[in-house]
Amino acid sequence: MIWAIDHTATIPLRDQIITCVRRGITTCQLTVGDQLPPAVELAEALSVDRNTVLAAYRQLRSDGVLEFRRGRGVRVAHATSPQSTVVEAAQQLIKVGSAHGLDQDQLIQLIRELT
Amino acid sequence: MNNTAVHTIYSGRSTNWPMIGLSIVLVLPLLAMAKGSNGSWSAVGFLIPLLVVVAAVAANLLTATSLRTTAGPNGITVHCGVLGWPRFRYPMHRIQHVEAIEVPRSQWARGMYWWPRRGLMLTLRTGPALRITLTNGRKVTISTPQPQAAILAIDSARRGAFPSTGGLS
Repeated sequence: MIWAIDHTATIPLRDQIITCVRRGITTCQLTVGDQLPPAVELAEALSVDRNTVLAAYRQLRSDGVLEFRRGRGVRVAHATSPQSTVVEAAQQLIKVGSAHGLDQDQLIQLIRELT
Repeated sequence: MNNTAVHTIYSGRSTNWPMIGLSIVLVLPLLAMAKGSNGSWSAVGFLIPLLVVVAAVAANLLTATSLRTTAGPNGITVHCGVLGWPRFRYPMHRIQHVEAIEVPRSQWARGMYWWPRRGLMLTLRTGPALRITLTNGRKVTISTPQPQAAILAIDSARRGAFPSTGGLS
């Protein structure tokens, strides 16, 4: 899985780590039951404090995205269904785009311009 | 430690489930052999096989069951087994070249070992792996599920640029 953290961004590092995990699940780089790196190792690799990673993991646990199990580390929760909201929104976009005569390439171009 | 603002790292884990199963299966007959010829347990007869079993299982769990690899601006780090030890660190300035390879089925790839010309093998299974060539000419091969993503993270760190993460899943 790819983690991208911008140390100069105004977005807190904790939130960037949360976004990385959510994106990993959405793009299927992480699947249900997958174990995440220990906080110490991830913090060292990302050059952030261990508590920042732990705070992100705890927030994701509160959101039901991750689960902590003694001796088994931090894993993607079984109850997670990450893509449904994004897929619904994308389907809605395709539907509206088709109604306005936009093809696949034009929709992708539009998304690129907006992001 | 690298001081670039954007840190793009790759993290991957490989687990050798067959080895874990095999360890358990092989432990049982060894313990059964600890029984004396008259079918009773003796203190010495039980203790020696037990120590062998504990040592074998501990060595197996430490080295041959799982690998956690991180690649990024700080180089490549490999943590072995459940305790994350032994640990292998290859800082960026020591890495000359990285490439994605396939460990063939014909090749023994069940743990940590060194082999002439192949170098250090940290391969728990056949299939995709990351091969590092160090500046001193040594080679290290690491089992990892997405070696291309690891290469992307290393290249990105060398360029100091933010890569596109699309298409890595």
